[in-house]
Amino acid sequence: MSELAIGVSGLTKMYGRLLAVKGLNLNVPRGSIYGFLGRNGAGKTSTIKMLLGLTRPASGSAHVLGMDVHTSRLPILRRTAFVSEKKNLPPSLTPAELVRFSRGFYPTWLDKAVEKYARLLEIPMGQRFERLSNGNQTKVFLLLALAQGAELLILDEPTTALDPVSVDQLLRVLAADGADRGTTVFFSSHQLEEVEQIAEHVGMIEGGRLLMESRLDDVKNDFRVITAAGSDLPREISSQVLSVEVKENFYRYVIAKDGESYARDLARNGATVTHVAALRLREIFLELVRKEKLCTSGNAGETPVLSSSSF
Amino acid sequence: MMFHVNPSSGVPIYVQIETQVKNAIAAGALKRDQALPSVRKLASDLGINPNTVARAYQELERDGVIATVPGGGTYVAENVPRLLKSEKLRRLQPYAKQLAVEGVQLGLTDEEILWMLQEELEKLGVHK
Amino acid sequence: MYLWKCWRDTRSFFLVFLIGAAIVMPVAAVVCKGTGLVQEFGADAFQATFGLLLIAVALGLAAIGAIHEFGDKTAHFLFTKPRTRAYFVWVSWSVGLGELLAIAAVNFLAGWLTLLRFSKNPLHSPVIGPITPQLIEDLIMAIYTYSLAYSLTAVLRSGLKGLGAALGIVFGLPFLAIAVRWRWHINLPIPTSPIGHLSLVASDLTWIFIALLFVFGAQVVIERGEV
Repeated sequence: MSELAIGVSGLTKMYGRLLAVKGLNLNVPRGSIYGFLGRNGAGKTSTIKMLLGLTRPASGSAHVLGMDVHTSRLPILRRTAFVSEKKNLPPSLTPAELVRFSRGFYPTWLDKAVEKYARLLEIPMGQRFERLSNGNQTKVFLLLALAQGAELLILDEPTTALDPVSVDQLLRVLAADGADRGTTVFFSSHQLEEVEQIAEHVGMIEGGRLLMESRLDDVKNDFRVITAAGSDLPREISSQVLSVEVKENFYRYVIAKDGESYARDLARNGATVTHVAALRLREIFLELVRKEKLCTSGNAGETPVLSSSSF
Repeated sequence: MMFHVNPSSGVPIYVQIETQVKNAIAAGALKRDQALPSVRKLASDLGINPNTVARAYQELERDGVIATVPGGGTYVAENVPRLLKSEKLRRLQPYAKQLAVEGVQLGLTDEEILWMLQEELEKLGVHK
Repeated sequence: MYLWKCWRDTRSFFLVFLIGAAIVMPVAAVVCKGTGLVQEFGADAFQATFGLLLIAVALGLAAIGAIHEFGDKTAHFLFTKPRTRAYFVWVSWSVGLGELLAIAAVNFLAGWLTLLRFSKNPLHSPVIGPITPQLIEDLIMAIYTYSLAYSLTAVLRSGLKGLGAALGIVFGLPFLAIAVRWRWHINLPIPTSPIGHLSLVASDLTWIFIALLFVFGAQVVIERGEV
């Protein structure tokens, strides 16, 4: 467990009768950049809140930096920096005052980082927070998180309200900062391109459940779409065959693993394989979400959760 | 050496970098003992995760394409043939298949397809 | 740090009332110069303003200062700092209490000095003596009201709601006590009058203890609350 910056098992959260998070499992290796992908309302923020002790899980366990969130809330917070979804900070304080405020809480605070990022991100340090633009507000939040000298950075939708240039800046800073000090970066997003740019690992959540979790490279290496023509070709869904679409005698498969050999098998059994190609993350995400919606509306059985075992 | 990667492609970023390095070497743009940018520099230039660049360099080193000097610096290697001929041929096979399939689809003859391949080899030969 | 932030948040309110507390008696004395009103009624007037001032300050500070991070939606920022929620509750309460006591002290000092000036016998100030017990009771009442309003604001997560609820309780309680006495012949203790057969000192200490219980209650609610 201590090789994981974040380890979650069977985590469940209910708001009244609404099940926001359902038996979620997450494995975030230390020192990695992990993109937590999901649509709005999929459960990303609820999960993050539970990791930080802002809300309590209904059941399941969660460990951050090797410590149980139930018992070690303060030690975790001492070593974890957080940028929340709503970028609200005390409105009447200036960024400089916010730095002064935050500084005292963290023995690992890095004054040099404050200078560096204030300059790099061009933050007006003397202006009251409420008067800053949305983009600058997010940057201030990020500055406070980066200067904390934390081992783990948890960011909930950090690029909201940022223009493309600022998004790029933010991603670069996260990528570089992570590598610098071996910091683990865990960020949630519904923007796939941002995750693709810097994440090594990706976890997809929909309807509070984990759709898949894998190294991003493995996802691109392993997932394949295969189109084939033939009659009576296999139609079963499995952990390997994510989906099958049939139109007359044309079949379209989305395969999670060993796509090439699956295509070979099809060909061996008389099918004509017309196309085998890698899938972009966007397509995989849409495919999995679509499948999850079908599953939860009662059409198919349990969604097999896909995970890549190697870290 | 200038790189360009597309994070949204179906091809992993590290593979894209590998490919570009190999292409550059094959075309003579990168010569033996020429230095490659450091992992941090390249990652910073491209705005990507340094671990991704590191992986690309690892794979290239494993294939004997580049070598890291202890103390710093990554250089184009002597291209010691660490791979067996059978492995090399296996690696080339998908590209050959692609060429063959495309050619047949377009209705070209075997001679025309082979001529195309010859052309490309000659181009590389000139630059070597 | 958090102490500094609490001060920053209540600073304006505090300074305004501090200045007010310092000048209300001297100004009144100047205005009434020559009328003899100060000598006659000065002590009573002072006691009345002292009481009212402190209640106003108590309610105001509670509404402004009490864990208002829920109100301005920065609770996620505050409660992810590595301190217990209890810490935030008590530090915030203490800052307000300190400010309340400071204003009380300034007002008392200003009043005493003013009355001293106008008293016929400077060595026997009318303040120290007859009205002192009343002043102490006013102070206890202010601390009680402050703690109650503070806790309600924290629990209801809104300065406005907290203020309203506190006002409702403070003004409603005496009426409730009357009703209960009339219907069931039970004497409910009214803050901050003596309780039952306890001595004055014991009663005062009990009221302060109850005030602390309010804050402790708020602490428990906030610890369990979701952000």
